[in-house]
Amino acid sequence: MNEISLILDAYFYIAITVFLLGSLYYIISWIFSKKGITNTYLGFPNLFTYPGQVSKWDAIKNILKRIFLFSSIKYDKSTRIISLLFHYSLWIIIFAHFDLFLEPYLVSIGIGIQTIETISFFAGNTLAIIFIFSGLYLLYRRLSNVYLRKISNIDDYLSLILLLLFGFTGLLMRLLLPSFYAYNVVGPFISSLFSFHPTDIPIAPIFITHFILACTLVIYMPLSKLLHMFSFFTNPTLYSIFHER
Amino acid sequence: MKYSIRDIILESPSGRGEEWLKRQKSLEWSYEINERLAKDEQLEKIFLKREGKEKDFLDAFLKLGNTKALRNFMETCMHCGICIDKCHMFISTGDINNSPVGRAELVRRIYKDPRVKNVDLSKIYSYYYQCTECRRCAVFCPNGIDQSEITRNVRNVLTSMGIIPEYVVTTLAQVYRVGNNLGLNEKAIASVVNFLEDDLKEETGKELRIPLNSKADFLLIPSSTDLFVNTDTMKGYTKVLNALNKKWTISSRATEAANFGLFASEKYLRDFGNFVVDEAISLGVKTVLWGECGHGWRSASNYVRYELAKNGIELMHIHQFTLKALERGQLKVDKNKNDDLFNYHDPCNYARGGNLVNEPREILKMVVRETVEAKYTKEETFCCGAGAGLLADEKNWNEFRAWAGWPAVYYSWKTGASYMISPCAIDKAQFPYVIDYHKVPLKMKGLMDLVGYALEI
Repeated sequence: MNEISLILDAYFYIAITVFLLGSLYYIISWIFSKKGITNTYLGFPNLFTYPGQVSKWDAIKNILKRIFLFSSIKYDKSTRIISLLFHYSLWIIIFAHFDLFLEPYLVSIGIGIQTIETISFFAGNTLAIIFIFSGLYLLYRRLSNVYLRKISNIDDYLSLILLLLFGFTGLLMRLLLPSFYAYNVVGPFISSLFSFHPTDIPIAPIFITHFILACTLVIYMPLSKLLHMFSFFTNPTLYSIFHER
Repeated sequence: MKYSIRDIILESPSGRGEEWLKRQKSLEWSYEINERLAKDEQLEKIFLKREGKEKDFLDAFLKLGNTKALRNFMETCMHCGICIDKCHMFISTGDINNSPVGRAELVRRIYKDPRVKNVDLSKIYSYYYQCTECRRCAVFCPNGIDQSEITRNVRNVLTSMGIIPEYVVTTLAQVYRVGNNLGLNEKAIASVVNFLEDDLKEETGKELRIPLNSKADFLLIPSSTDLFVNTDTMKGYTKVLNALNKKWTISSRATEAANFGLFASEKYLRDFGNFVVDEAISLGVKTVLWGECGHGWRSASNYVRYELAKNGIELMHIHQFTLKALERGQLKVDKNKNDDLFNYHDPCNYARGGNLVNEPREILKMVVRETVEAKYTKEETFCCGAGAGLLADEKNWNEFRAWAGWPAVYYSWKTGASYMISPCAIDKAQFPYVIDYHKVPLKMKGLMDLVGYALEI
């Protein structure tokens, strides 16, 4: 195994460890920290903000609507549509990476390689472009609004820029490298990492950049505002109904 | 980028909008106004000594910061800015520190980096006593971060250090002294009660009693202003309870539905709640009826309710009680006596803290000819701009709160209604002032007032 591979493989495992431990630390601290010195929220047993939130199912519905439809930002229509596009394209792209390992199985159940790769090429590129443009809009929104600029800190810009670079290198990979490279070289390498028998990293600068960015992002997640993805079910104004008196 | 909702400032019929916007050119405007107040010798005492207390604040705040609410609210904000133009304080002042996220940032910077030494306590003090704890931001925040809870935590620390505005602290002292915010002692209450009974006799021709400190089944907790200023509300309660022939009473030792403890610290909140509980036990009542008061109902339904339950006493809002009687047909009402168009304004703490949204609406529909809903209703309602201790009648401040209450009045005015109905004692003091300042053709009433007018005894 060459030295670059060794360093990058180690980086990958460190990233995964930091991500898992860091996220778990925050999630556990959000759920299990005490309500207050008197075990109430300064006198109150719970913190409802919604009228008629009488059943637990109402609370769950409310949280799910916030997560999947961004229902709470209904009065900011352009922001809502663009951030929905941003988040959905990001998640679909991340999950679509599984086709790298799943291709042999998909082929075995009768889907042609050509079909998979064509769908992947067009859908992937379209989503990546949507992701990059919606991300750029979010950056523009942050910079153009004097109030928003005032409350933004380095983390807000860094998270967005890292994600955008991540998406951009992914798109470049697709355009610069032949598709068999992704399926025949990158796919097996990633599988080998997850099965704890790492092989040599494919030497393609654009792939290495994408890989490093991905690991950096994974490390950066528990240290930054990207943690918000875990916070919906731990926020006491949303799930207060589950508190016992 | 511009927040279009702020255009409502220019639509004020008073024509003062342009001048107001001009004065906001400096973003730190409302901070300055407080500093100006601080420099005023007469008002200096409002700003108790803050110098040298920065370290105490830091220690106390970080200790509190370990709680569930603060951990969540401090660590999960993604600075999306959705809350900014949802806050009536920001809409009216254009000051980012007066928006939910801006206000939270003042302490979040300390929370995220405890090594911070230069805590600007003046700034924290100013802005944390300019939050009305209305919780509108929590409804619109994608993560549900509740700025009012952060405000309560910070105020808890500030109060324990003796940093508290004069208006809030004098009110707290009155409650400890006599049991209500206005400082009415037993004698004063007895004479007010006599006066109201005479008034009611003249009005209805019947002997309607307001029992004081007597053993009864129901203890009514009115807001102390209902006895003095909003007497129509008190008459409404009296008519309803007499029409139903209930054995009821008010108490001179607990004549306050409001609970300013909510605006200061947990200790006061509990103490004031316990005053009511003690009084309910000593009068041997079965049910405590809560009068019209927004934040009072939040503290009652979330604190007093459980303390009463420990003693087998039930808590009910006067609206829940009245609606039950209306639905059973025990009260005869004539809609035609309230022949106009009415808009119901949800007090923030009923809608977002007390789960009281449908009952008042149902009552209103039964006692008036026509009702209309505003653009932002129920949990999206706008705050009156005077909650959480901002009702203070001080120079410079009055103009500020006239604008802080403008969004709520604006959307009520736009419905075309001639009456704005809000069953909250602070609203009843604030809205007439805002309406008058902006010269809006709107009148303001409590809900029980209308029940009283429509009731046939």
